[in-house]
Amino acid sequence: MIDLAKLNEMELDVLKELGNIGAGHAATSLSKLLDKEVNIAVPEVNIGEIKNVFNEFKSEIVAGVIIALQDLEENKSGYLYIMFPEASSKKIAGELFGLENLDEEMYASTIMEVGNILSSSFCDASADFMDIILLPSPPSFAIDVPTAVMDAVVSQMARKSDHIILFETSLSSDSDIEIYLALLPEPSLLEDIMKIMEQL
Amino acid sequence: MSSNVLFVSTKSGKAIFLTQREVLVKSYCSLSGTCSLENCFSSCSLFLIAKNYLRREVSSEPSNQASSRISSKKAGVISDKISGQIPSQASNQASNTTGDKISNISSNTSSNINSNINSKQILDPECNFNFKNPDFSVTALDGELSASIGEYRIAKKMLLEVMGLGSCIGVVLFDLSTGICGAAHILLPGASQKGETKYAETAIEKMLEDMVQQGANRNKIASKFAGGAQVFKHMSLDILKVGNRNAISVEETLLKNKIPILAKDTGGDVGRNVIFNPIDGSMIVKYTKPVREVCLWL
Repeated sequence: MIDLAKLNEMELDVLKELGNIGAGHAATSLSKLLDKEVNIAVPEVNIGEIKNVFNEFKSEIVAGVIIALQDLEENKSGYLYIMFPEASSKKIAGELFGLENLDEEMYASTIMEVGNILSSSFCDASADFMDIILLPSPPSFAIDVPTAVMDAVVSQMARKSDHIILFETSLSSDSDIEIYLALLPEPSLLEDIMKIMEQL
Repeated sequence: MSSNVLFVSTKSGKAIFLTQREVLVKSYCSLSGTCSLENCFSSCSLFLIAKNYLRREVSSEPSNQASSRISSKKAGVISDKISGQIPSQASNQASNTTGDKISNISSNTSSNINSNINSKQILDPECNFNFKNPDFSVTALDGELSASIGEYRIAKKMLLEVMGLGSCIGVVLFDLSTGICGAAHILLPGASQKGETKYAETAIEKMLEDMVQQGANRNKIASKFAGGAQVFKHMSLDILKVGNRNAISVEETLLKNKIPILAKDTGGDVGRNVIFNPIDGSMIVKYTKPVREVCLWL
């Protein structure tokens, strides 16, 4: 098993590229969906101790969508975490329906679907360009502070390691829409990446 | 930046105020949600007491009737003995729900106010408060301490915080006779082979041991805990249902170690913040969603 705390530059770069390609395609999908220009922030890969991961998050309410990723052998590859600040998620849902106010159920289901589309294009891109097959699970949805949304996922990662890799980027559009996108890879995804690198 | 923490309790309610440079940054009140006052800041007696206490601290340094001495811990920290008396207006609080059980805190308090603060900015110019009253008490704490994920923290006289709990659990162990309290932020159920404190059993037992080592009386340690919510409305992943298992594991561990459980608040679908006040042993549970802007005082 790969120790997450001891990855070298090269391995991190590959992971970053995977995230980059995925996020880029997710941004394209979002742009098509909203019919707007979408900007993508320069992504970052951070390795951190789990206890420090949340220090940078603000304690504002967000809508969070979590998607588990699997490879073809049904190994857990990791999780995609898509976070919409509350104002952005309301705005996205509103714009898609052309309505100011959506009822709770409709709103939740819309954001889940947006999460679904983003994660699917993320996975498509990683398969197309890097031959890394990621199968997304149906989305799970929660509205709460970022820590509360993420801790169930983090607890799964924590079983194996004290460290966590976080690929982070954000998508934004001129009309104040902001989406935060994170990939939390499990060791088995890194193993898949290594295998592909060996073939090069 | 660290805050000054003030705990005020009266017959009708209790509140904790956190101030930075004389500006109120946060407050937790046992009457929130049930209080009939519309504006906390102008008419609440708890607030007035805190305000006057702070001003008195700052303005009365040179000619203090009470004995004041420099604390050995930090230079520039003034330790103040208070034996006060109250004007009747202080307990005009409208509501009377939670705070009836006033703890018999000694009125000797030590405070932690920096001497070079300019007090006049937010404080009322009138200072006619007298702190010689058995009906209320004011205690200054030594600051706040937060336990991040998978950690526990032990302290005396500090406000302990476990923030952003979803499926995680905040467990507090405390011994009021010695004042040694600990808070743990538990991530996973069960025990760890390697002694990692993210697991419920390991964290609680380690914290207990540590507290006893620091002088806590094992037989007087009691516990409170909160968390273990299920924040996901739409679930496709079973692994996200860890909250309930956490709660069960924490409870079993506490029972196994014969630690009395004085309060708990688990489950539900809302994230929580847990704040523990070591002065009277109350655990404050604050839900993260503004829909329920209520503090539970347990």
